[in-house]
Amino acid sequence: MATKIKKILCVLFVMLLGFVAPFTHNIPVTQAAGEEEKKEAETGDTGVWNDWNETHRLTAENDKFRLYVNEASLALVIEDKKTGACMESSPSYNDGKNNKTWSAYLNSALVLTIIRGNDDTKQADLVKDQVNKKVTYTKDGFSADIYWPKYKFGMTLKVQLTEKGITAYVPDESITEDGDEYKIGTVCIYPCMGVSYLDDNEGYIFIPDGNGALIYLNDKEGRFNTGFTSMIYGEDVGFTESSASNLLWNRYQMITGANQIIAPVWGIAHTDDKMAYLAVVEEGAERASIEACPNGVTLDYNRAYAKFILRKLYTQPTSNNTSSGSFHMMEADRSHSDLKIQFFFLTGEEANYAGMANAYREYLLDAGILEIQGNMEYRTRVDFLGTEREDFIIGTKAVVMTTVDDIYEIYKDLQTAGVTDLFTVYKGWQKGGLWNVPITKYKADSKIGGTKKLTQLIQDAKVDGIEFYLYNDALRINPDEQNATFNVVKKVNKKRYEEYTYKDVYEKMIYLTPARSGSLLNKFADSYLKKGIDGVCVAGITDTMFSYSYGGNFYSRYDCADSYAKTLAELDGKMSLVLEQPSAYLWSDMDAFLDMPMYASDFIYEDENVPFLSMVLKGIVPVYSEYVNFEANKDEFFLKLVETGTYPSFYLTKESSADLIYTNSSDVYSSQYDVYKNEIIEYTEKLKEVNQAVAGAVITGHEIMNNDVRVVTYSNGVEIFLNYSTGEQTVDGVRVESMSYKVVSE
Amino acid sequence: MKTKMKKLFVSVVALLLIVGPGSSTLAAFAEAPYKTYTVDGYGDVAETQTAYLPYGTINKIGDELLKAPTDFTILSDGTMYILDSGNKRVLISDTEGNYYGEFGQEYLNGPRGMHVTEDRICYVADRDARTVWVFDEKGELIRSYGRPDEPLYGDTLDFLPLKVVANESGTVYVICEQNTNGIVQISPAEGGTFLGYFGTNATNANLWTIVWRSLLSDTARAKMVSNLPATPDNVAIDEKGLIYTVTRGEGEASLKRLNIAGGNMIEPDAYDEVPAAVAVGNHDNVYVLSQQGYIYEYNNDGELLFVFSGSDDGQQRMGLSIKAEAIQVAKDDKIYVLDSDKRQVLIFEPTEFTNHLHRALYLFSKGLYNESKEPLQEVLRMNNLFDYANMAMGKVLYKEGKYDEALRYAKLAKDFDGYSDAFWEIRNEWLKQNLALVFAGCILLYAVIKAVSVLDKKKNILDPVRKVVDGLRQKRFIKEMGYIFYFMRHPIDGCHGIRKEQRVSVLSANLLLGLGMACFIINKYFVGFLQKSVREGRYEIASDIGFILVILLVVVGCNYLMCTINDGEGKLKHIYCSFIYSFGPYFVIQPILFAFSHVITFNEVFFIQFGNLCMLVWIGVLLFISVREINNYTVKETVKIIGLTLFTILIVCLLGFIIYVLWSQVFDFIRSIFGEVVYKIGN
Repeated sequence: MATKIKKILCVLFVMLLGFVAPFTHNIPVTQAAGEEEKKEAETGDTGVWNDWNETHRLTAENDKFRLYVNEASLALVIEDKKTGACMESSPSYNDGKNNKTWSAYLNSALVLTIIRGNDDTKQADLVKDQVNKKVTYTKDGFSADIYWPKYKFGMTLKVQLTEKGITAYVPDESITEDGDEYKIGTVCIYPCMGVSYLDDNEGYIFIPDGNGALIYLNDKEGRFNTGFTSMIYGEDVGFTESSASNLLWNRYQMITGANQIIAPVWGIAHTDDKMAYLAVVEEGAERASIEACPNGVTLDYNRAYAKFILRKLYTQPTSNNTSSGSFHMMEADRSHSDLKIQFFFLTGEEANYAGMANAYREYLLDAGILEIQGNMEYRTRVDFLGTEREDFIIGTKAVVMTTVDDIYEIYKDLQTAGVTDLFTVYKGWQKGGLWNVPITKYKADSKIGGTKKLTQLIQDAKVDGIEFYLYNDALRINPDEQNATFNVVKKVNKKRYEEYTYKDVYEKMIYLTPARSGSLLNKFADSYLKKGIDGVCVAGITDTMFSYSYGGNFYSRYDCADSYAKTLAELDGKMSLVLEQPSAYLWSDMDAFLDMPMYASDFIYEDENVPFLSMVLKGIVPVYSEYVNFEANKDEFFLKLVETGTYPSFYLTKESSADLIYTNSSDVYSSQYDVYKNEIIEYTEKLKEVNQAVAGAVITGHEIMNNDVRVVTYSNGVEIFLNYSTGEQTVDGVRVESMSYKVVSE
Repeated sequence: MKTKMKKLFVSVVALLLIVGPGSSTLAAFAEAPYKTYTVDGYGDVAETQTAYLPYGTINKIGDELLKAPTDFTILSDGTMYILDSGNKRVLISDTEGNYYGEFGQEYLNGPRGMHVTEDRICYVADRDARTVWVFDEKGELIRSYGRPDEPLYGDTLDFLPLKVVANESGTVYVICEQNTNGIVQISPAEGGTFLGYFGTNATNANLWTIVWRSLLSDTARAKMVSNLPATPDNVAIDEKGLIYTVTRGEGEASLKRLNIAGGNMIEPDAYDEVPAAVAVGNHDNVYVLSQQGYIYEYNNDGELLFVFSGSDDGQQRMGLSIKAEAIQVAKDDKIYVLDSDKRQVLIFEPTEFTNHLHRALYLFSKGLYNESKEPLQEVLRMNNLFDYANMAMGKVLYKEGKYDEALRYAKLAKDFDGYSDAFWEIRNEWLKQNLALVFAGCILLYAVIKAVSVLDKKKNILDPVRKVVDGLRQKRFIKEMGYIFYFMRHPIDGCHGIRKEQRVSVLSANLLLGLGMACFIINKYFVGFLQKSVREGRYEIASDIGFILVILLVVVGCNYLMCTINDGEGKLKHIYCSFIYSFGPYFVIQPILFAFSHVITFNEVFFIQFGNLCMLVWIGVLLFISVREINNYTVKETVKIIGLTLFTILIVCLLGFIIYVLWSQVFDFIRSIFGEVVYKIGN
């Protein structure tokens, strides 16, 4: 056996030499030398880069796929046995424009950035650098121990072929850093999986921006110089620097943040080859970003990958004055987690984004992260705002918007009109109003009627079949109302993190440490359960994750996520829990998903919005939209609700929202019930009908026609045709009027 | 399922074909990467519904890429002319980027601005060629205008055209680099006749520069940065032939609408420091584009309706600009913005909300109040804090005679004139209904008083009351407080009383100060709506009190210091007390004005102003007399002391500022050390 391996190694080594030699000859050595070298590179070889039939060897095979590996770079090729279609982790066509570093990037299975002093840009890989490598083949893949002697670090990469695709895995304990000079910054595993050159392949990259978005694999003609890059589960406030953002008149924040990634997935589909993959970051997602670069972003290759962050540089100021000194620091320890990506390969009719959504749903159900909720029927979400505060002569005074009696009245009014399926989150119910956070016990503001009355309302609502939840932002503490000296989050540089509201009454909020959030939430839940009430809406901690330092210790995003997950799992055991835009790792604890984004973030390189998350979750858990109030295009938004199977949400007050103008809710510019009553009735009538037609079914197909018509197919055979165009359209013999929809049962 | 896949495949291919090479990219998304703000009646900024959504971008005209485009025009039929400056040509396309043609390569050298009239005559301002080129609808050169020969133009001035517009008769208006005289106006008669300058900006000389310049010698004055009027940055023309200009750094004059005589007819209530371009909308509205990409929409009167979009900080999201150059509004209200850095045209589409507003705007400005009510209601239904709509609604209701409602909307919109008018009507109505009652009440009151006094004379029924009052008057404390009324009428004797007879104490002065502050605060925050200078619901009591105390301290302190070194006889206590007591008129007049402010309209505002003036003069006289009497000065000495006191105050303020700056440095230093220590310990 050993001699056999030796022989193979010898052969491979010769092949490697043959493969690398022309490169070193043709391709310039450093990246920094710029234009001149680029020219030189351009005169180099173009054409077939590596004929994988020659450079790769078959390592594993099952009923559906064959897995080939290039032992030098550990690059992969997956072949669909039925059609012979392939997906590669390194491009087979060389356009001759790439220098040595970029060539290595395109071909290597692992691409690392190294931190040395203040420099975190240098690249380490398996092609350009000299590495000590030991590859062990198993019956379904291989395991490679890799060591960079120059940098004195190493890790083990394990690749396994499964029935659904492949698993790429770097165990945490295998990552070793022996030297002091070089440290690992980031790790990318197969950054070019599914790579294609310019428009050589038809298809698209799917990115998890908002509900989902596609970047087509057409020739972008160099229009974009940056691609999609976003931290999974949101930015890390522990590392954010106070940056001088561009403010209107030096005061008003103009640009809204992009959507954050809710689920750790991405995908690439080659529709011409009918082959696609969906990648799920299974381990290490808490501290990783998803990057997608269409051609023209540095290289002419389309690629998408996850970048795991192990260590980062940060700025340590020595003064509160920004003009004074600061110095760059490196995190003392790297973050510890296994790094694991599941690539689900999809072929034939599943090789598209609908197939990706199906694969992800299946994965979540199999892994037990999602459970099919029993309570799935259609409901209209009507949220109420209780009290807010505005400045007064001394301190603040209450602005009462909706009392318990008002809610009784509104319920009665809606029920008379036939709207009985309601779902309510009551905000600003607690003593001291909406921003008296955190809430530590069940005590309602006397201005809305007091605790007793509220308890009665919740019980009465239950009898009427209304789901009623009390809103609880478990993340924030208001330093103007509560003592925020202890148990609050400090950034890695030991400065307290402050979130600016850009509002008048309370100018900033501070984050509680996850442990504190958890203990307060539990305390609150206990006092709540004592009254026999069990519905709570948790916000804040559901879509935020950060590194922080507290009490001299440093905590990573993994610690933060663990703590939140534990807290919510415990809570889920004893109460009914609905979550505001929860990150995917918390999905096992939710009874309903609130505030589902309907669109992506309008990045210029995005070509299409697709309702990926809705396709995954529809029919599994009830999903409620963001508030209809603030939509400027109501007709289009309504169609989006139909398309995604999302239940509508309204933010209501009894009083006119003009009363809110001097409060921190001054951005709630329209909310009065009287204004929205008819809309609620209309939405309920129409959407209930649509959702009853697809009750219990999941979305299995989704198509975008070229005439602005979209067709959604459900597992029970129902098809919904939506026409977003300005004229009447006919698809499959189904005629749909402009800005309208049609439900067709089989 | 198989057919379905086929369909998907076909559709994807079709989509790829649509967006594929050879055409521009157009895609509709519906979540704006920016917020939309409006300005409320206080001039404060408030968020509102997204007014325009990014609709798409045009990166290419057919197969042609743009290079540093600087200007463009969209005609009412949707034809778009783009001045592709980097490629020295004019491209013609539709609003989706389909290529129609190009011209001008053989003439253009360094073009910067362009204007195309509805009959497709194209004017190009070519800076490097020092020429304005005129092309006909086929792209043939028909005329060109070089530097005017007329002496009126200015002997030494070069002709460097940057931007150009032309009216129906062919008169061109040219903005020239370095030409501060205004817009150059050239008529087509005799191959180009210089008509003169138009719409010159004013120089802004403030009092300080005037004083400063008058003090300098001629040579020093010559060395100063010359105070020349700013050259406008861009120009636009509307259907009526009115010229609009934007000029950077001109404040409220940064946007101008010029009539034939060159007079300004618009005053924006919010503006940008670096406007890049201006365009006229279809609903009597005006759009201003800032270089940073902010888009401002104003109504006919220059009230800001929306400001949105902004600069792309590397996020690469649709609807943000890097270097915005020009703005155009199409007939369907879509906004087109040309970005020279991104080399593309950004398209914005009005939302349903904005469409309602535009309808209301148009109807309202045409005087169709009743018709404008429905779209206004629609706007307010979506955003009942939208200021313009509240204002217009108030006016509409006023016209309908629903004054109570009108008053409510006017108050929401901070429309003081509207409020005043509505209040006048309401008051009138009330008076009409209750005048008889009021008169009856007055007569009754008079009769009662008369009766009581008669009875009192005969039977002394008021004796017990009198006794109590007298008893109170005898209390030393009350007496001291009451002295203020005496002081008001007899300041000279009053000062003597303070100095020699101990008629007042520091305690009473302190109490009066407290009372005065309470009076000030109540008046500030609860005065009638028309007189209110602070915004509703905004309270800054601590700073109010602090402000009064600091001023009092500085004034009294400085005055005392000056008096002691100028042979003044007053003690600190006396100076303090006399200052406080000099404010007597405030205690008497202010409450009356306060009460009055709740029942007046702008018609009677004179009474308040007059009352205020009387009060201030009275206080001034009392202060003057106090300084004189307490220190036993002559009038001349008093004037001198007051001057010296003011000077001392100035010095104290300067000193305070210097100390503040120094200490903040020290604090920062200590904080730095602390920060570093904390950091070191933490590690």
